[in-house]
Amino acid sequence: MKGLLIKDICSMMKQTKYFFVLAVVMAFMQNDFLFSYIIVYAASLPITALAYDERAKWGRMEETLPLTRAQIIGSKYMMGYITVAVSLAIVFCGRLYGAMAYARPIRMENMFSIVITACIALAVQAVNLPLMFWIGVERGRLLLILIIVSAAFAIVSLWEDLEIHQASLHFPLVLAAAAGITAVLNILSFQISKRMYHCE
Amino acid sequence: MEIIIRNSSSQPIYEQIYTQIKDLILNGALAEGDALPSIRGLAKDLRISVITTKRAYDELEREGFVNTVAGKGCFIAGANRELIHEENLKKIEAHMQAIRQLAKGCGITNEDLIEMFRILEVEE
Amino acid sequence: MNAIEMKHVTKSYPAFTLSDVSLSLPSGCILGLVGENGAGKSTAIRLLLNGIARDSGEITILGRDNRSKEFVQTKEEIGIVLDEAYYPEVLSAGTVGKMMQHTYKSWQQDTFVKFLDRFSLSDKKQFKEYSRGMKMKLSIAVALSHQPRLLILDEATSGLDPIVRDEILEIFNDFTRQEDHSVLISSHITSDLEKISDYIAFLHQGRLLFCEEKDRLMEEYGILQTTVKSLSEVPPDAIIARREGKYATELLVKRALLSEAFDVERAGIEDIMLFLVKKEEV
Repeated sequence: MKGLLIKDICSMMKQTKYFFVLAVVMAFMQNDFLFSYIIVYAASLPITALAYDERAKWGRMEETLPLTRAQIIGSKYMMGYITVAVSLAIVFCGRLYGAMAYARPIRMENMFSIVITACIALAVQAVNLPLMFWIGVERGRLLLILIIVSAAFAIVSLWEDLEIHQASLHFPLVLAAAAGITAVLNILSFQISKRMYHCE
Repeated sequence: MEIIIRNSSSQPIYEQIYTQIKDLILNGALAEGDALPSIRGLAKDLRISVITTKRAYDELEREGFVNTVAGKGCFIAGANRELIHEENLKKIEAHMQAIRQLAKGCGITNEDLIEMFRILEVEE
Repeated sequence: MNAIEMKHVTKSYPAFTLSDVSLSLPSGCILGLVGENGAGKSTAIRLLLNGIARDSGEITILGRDNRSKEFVQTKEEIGIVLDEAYYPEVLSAGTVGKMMQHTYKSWQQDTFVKFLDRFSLSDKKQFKEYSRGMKMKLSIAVALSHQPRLLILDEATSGLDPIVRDEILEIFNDFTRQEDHSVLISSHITSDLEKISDYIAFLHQGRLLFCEEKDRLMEEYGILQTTVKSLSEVPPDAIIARREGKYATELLVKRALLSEAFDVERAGIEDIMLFLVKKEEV
């Protein structure tokens, strides 16, 4: 699996560079939208990797390697977890920098919204990956955009709801629920992907 | 050791190897106890099939020209010179039979034959 | 032991069926798989690796059923070169090496580097700048760098110039100097297979027409040129297929059934193939 991750990261050097440039710019701009954007972008990288694989017909190559289906599928999930974790770390650093350089206080809700965004990003990945393994990124492009747009709407309306009920919310409980749902979704998604992959 | 494989020849490849190694033993280029190259090595060097080479070696062993020592390889057998001598005598006999029959058919006497043979020798 | 064994393998697609293919590759030998484009060679190879699932039949590779869970470990010992190298285009030979190092347990980086050197492949150049020959060479270098016991090569020599082809064939030939090393090589270039194979299997329109020892084929079959007049003198049992020309008739014959009086010429794999395909069509 490590080999596959190396391949994906190296073949997406362009995206990886963009990712870091974005991170630095974000740290200076201290824009909340950019903070969410970088997490969602990070979660979309596995799909990009899949699109690259498809274009190179890498699947034919994978058939020849001593790798199980679970390892091949798992590498894409793992990639999503790693990129989201890295983006989270960057966002936290950005916040910390903001707190020190611009004296922007780190508030509980901010941290909360960042983690919730990461959960949603991973949940979207859990919905996307089996679909993409099944119909392919090329053919699934439209569907992909649809899912992402509806996810964006869901996030926005969720934020509005949160604004209203902010006072009555128990943050740790909501966080635990979000993390739990994301985990269950990912486990289910992985199992479905394993079945979807290369059904011939 | 020299072996030449002719792909265009109508003689099967295993027979080409068999005959050439036998000839090498006969003319003394290979002596008793000499090691033959390994089947696989010879096949790969000549760029021919391993199975074919094995067939040639099997044939040589069956005829008593070589011995196979398990794990060590193939060696030229001891008693082969006599064997070859005998075989050649048999061959000469067969040819002479044929000559006799041909001669009889067109009325050539034994003396004529001997005379022809002498002339051949002189020409050489 | 057989390195590869296929028994009555069938795979159906809407437009193509590979039907009832049985063949075996004895350990230590080279099996050449010939057939026209679309005959089913690549399908057969994908079936061998269980890249596509067979409908029926049995496949055993290096003593293991290719559907078993442990087949992943067997793949460690198989070097595979596909008809094309499907690497992402921005990768370089260097990254491919790094990746394989973390994929194959028995990866030997120094062997890989030696092959890159021998093939004059730089480890920096991106895959998209490679010529077809270079792509093939990279695949071959990967296939040979993890101590394989079996090589499976799908059209590995097609599209390469004769000098490179010969160089690569020599590598495969050398690979089988070791007794437990075997090669399956598919190609539509019959002369390549004629050069190095011990066995030849011939696929035609999804069916296996024969799988035989190469030199036996050469001994068994021959070509006889006859005129219409002398055709009657040839024993009918000996004639396998015929090709009528304007001035003469060419016959594919069984040598054993003809007396020495007939001037039988040597038949190459390609001749045998062409005659048998012709016969199928009749």
